[in-house]
Amino acid sequence: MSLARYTLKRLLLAVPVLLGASVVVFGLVHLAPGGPVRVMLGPLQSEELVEQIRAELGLDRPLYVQYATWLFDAVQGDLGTSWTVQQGTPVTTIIAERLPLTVELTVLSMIVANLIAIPAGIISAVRQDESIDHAARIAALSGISIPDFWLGIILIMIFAVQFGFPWATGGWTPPWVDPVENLKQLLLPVITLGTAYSALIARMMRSEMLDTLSQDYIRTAKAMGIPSREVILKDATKNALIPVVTVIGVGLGQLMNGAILTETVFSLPGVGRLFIQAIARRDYRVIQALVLFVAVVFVFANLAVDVLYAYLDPRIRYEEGT
Amino acid sequence: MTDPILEVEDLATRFYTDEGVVEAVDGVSFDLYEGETVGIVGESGSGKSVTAMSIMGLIDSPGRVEEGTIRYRGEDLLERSESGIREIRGGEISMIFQDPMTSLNPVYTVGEQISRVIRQHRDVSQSEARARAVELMGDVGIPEAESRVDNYPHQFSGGMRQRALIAMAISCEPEILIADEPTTALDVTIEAQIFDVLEELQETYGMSVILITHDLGVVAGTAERVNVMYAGRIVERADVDALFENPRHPYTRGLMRSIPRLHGSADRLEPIAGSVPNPAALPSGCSFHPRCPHATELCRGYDPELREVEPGREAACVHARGYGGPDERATGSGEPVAADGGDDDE
Amino acid sequence: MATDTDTTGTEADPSYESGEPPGTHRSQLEMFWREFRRNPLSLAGGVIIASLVLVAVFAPWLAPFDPTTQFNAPEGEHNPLAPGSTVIEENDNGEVIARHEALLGTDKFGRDVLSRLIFGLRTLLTVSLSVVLFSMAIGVTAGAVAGYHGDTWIDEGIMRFMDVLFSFPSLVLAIAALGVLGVGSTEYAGFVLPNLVKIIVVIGIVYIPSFARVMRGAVLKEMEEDYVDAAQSLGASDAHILVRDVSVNTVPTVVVQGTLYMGTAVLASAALSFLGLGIQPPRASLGLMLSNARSFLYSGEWWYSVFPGVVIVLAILGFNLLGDGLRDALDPRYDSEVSE
Repeated sequence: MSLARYTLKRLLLAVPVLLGASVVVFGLVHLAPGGPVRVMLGPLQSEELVEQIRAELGLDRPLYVQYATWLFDAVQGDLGTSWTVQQGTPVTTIIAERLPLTVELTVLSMIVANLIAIPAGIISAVRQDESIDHAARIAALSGISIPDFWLGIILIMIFAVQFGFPWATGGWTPPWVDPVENLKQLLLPVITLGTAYSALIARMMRSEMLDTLSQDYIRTAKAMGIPSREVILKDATKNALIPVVTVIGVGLGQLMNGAILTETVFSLPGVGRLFIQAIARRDYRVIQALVLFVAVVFVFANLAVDVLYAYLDPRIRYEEGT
Repeated sequence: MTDPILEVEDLATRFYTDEGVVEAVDGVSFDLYEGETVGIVGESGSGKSVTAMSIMGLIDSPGRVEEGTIRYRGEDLLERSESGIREIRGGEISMIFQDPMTSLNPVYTVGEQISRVIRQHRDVSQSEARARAVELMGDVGIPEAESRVDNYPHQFSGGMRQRALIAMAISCEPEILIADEPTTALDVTIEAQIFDVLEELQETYGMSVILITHDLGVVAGTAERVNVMYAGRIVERADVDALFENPRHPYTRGLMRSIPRLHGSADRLEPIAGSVPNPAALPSGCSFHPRCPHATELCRGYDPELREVEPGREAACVHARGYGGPDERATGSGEPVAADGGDDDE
Repeated sequence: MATDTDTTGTEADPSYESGEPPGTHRSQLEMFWREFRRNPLSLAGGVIIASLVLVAVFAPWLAPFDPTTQFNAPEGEHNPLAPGSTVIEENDNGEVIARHEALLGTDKFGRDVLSRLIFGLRTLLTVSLSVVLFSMAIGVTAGAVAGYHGDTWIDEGIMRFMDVLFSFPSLVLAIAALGVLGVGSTEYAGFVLPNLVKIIVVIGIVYIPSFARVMRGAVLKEMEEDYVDAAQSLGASDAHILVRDVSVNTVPTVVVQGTLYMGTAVLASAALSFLGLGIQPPRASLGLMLSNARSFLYSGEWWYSVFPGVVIVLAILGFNLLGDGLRDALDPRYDSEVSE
């Protein structure tokens, strides 16, 4: 089927998945013993207070009514008002304030990670079993084995404490205000967040490259006199990149997890840290909104990756045979 | 008699594997004259493909071409640099392989792949190369070449893909085309078409062809001279008619007996006993002797060279008529050695 | 020249068999084991994991002290103490009973770091293993059921549900669930849910889809091969064969997947503890130690943040090496053979 139909089909399939996810999110908060109000107030407050607030917030209505209302509002962009993180402020505003930092952190990490990982994977495969390959493989293996929050701590210890760089002090200056300051703030966090992701991509790239280089069409290109470098860069890489693109989708989940931890370690005021704060203060509206938001982004990102894969691989794009 | 366009002499290619040294090609010599089609026949493991890859310079580690010369128009290819060989590959000596289904890059169009080969060896523009690609696709019999030039390989059938690969191989009008089992993966009817195409192209471009195959039937219809390979060596060489009429080497005879024939007696098919030896552990003496119905004591210890047994025919068997082996009075049930004396060396 | 046997006749010499490498009659298991042993990295992984497991199992005997005992610092010093320091054990009256050496120092509460590392490792491995077993059990079952009822609404339903589970990055769901349900044991309409169980379920739930998909694929393939009509009710012997064939085909993949997921599970549970949502004090928890260490980053108590991290890294590294090795041994890389 054509690309447009494929995209449409995937979009339609995503709808029930997202609905299911929203049910999970909603159910999560309301499953807490005592209900969300109890979660918010903590175990020490009186039962009367709980009841009173429940009525105020409309939480005494039947669950399905609450769910429908919430979903209806959410689709229109109204995710409620924060109770404890920033009382009275619409949740969407709170998220919007913190989102740019997280986006910058994530995107920068992705870019840097890929810029390192893809060439590393290619070189590793081309020079299989030579010392540079061994070194790269060990580096990549270490990369996926080191927890990002620990890496962040160690980096802080080494650079901030030992060498006295006043970085990683928290806070965020937008790049359009002061790009240099912005870079200083994000340097260590990007290294922290991007390492595991980069290692994952590098390993995948190496593996796919090795597989591609053993294919018959590589032999054909060589037999026709095409120079090795061109064979590697043109014939092999394009084929190997296609499956790697799918890993980007998987890696995004990893990046989201990592962003929460990295922002916590480096005290960066982003969406990840907001999540932790909301948990600590039991602001269920914020928690609900954030988890839903993350799920939506994740689902659409995976969808985009699938469509991209279909676009890149002509075998999927053009289904006709002879 | 003019000089041959390709002279292979004492070629030896070895592979250094974990299981030991494999002498895939062990002293192979043959000539190719301009315009002729020479066949190389053998089973899997005989070294025929490795020979072709050695000529093309496509042997990668753990393999190495270690001995011999490959003279193309008088110049030893083995002395050329890597970039020198690349010029020859595809430009003057081309090769097509056995697996058309996997030999084309799936993410580029067929036209792109052919054009790129043209532009590698000729200084032409992209549009000129593309036009030539369309022309070539038509020459090899791909219908509607104009529109199909922008199709991807998976949109072609196996036979069409092989034609596209042939188009790619002849795009720069090579002097020599090496075809390694070009039709083994295709249906018999398609096979005939492919050979028609090859014949036509050979005439048009005056190419010399080395045809590698395990199929005697294919060789009978297309080659003029035939080399029979076994365990890394050529064991018999003759003009095609002479070979089929009266094969001299027991292996060749065994091959002939093991394929069905349309005419002739409806005898039982006789497969050759035993199986191809492990290239890392070849038998002593004559490599074929464990499977040979005529093997004698001599064969266990003496490794026969390829030698003329008749004008224009060579065989590597002490019991071949006219061989003149070391022990004229061969014992056992072998073929009698020629009475008109041969040499008495060794 | 040898003159013993007669080599004439039409019999082929049987000592020259075809080009198969010797010993092809070894079982698959032996071949796999040989391949695995050849790789030094997978052996290293095996050794690391074996050592860690041994330490975890024999924790009570190996740890010098009880991980929750709080020692006092000598005069003029305060906790956390550096590696090799002397710590003081006092009784309830404040009198000094004994002096010990804290090999790796103490944490801010005066608890011996080494002992906490050992017990923390034990907890970490236990939780991770439970997570993987939990998700494997459910995932494999769900996948098998889905595959068996391939292309029916049961299959669709199960796989859609898997998709929903898959739409959350692992930690996000875990954090939200634990944050909402609260840490520690949770009372639930008179039914107590222990903290450990919550953690295990919450982490493991996101791994279920992978196992389910693998299993479903294998079952579908198997059904295709042997049975024309999957809706047919199977006789007992048929079902038995189906189960056996599917198991043989999927056990290796599932085992590799499980091993690699152990690394992920270790990472996840350490992360949760780091955020304060995992194992609660005073139980030893490596992630929590790291979290506490943050307040001591600038004052130079480096051991507090280095050691727990090293242990975590070793565990993850070990599982990755082992998992990689297993995967490579089961699916040997195409190496350049002597082509024809």
